Amino acid sequence: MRASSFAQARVADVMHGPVVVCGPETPIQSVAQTMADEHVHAVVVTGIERTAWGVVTALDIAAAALTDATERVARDFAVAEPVTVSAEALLPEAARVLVEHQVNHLLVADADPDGRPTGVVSTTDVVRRFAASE
Amino acid sequence: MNKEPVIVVGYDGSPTSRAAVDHAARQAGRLGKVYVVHSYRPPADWLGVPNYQRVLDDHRARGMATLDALMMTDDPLLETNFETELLDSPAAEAITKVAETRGADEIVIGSRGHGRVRSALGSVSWEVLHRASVPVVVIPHVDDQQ
Repeated sequence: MRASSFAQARVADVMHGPVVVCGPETPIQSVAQTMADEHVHAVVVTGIERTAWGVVTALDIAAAALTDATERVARDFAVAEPVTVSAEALLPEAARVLVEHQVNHLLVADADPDGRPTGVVSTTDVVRRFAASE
Repeated sequence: MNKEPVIVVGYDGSPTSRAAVDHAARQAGRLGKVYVVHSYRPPADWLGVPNYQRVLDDHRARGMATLDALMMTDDPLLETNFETELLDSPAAEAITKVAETRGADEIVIGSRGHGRVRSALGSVSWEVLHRASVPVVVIPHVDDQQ
């Protein structure tokens, strides 16, 4: 079944599935394990110094795999100032931000008055909705 | 998974926490282990001896009934190894305590946010996150009507 217009879809419409979150001192191998088990490509990291949130992506894990990372933690690999988007933003706007910043994931972080994240939207989410739209 | 996963999941009887249990069970599979944690707050001390015990017994009975009802359903939980744990402490404290004791690989918890766009983290999951040393998987809110 075809979904409604891609141009009219919003970020909130494509957010689904679990959000994986971890603390900054979580061992990176533990993050990698959960990422693999949950089939997600980004884990939200809380409590990164100076900023409220960070994101560790599968690419960061791949980079960690190239080093002796057994003793390292999420904080060491998290992007401390992730690119964010509003859950109410239209998908074309999210796509533009993804392309402009050359990233695969955007932190959806503006819906909660306490600044807690709502979730993560990825290039895959955008592609999936684009493919299914009328 | 590289090893048999140990997953701790919070359960309060809500549809979202039910979805969290199902998710944990599917992730654990036949070889893993799931610890389903339900907790209740201990009564206030000022209740006094007879009333305190009566309220405590009532909380405990309701907690046991919640877990008993969970185990009577035909669902993914029955396809894995699981145990239930009933603790008399705040939810976040109970969940992280069991996770630590059982050597959990991850914690699964339901979001309690409301509205069309919901925060991934409710107050309990927020506190769990700040206490836990393993990743926390937050399951999206499930409406009661579903």
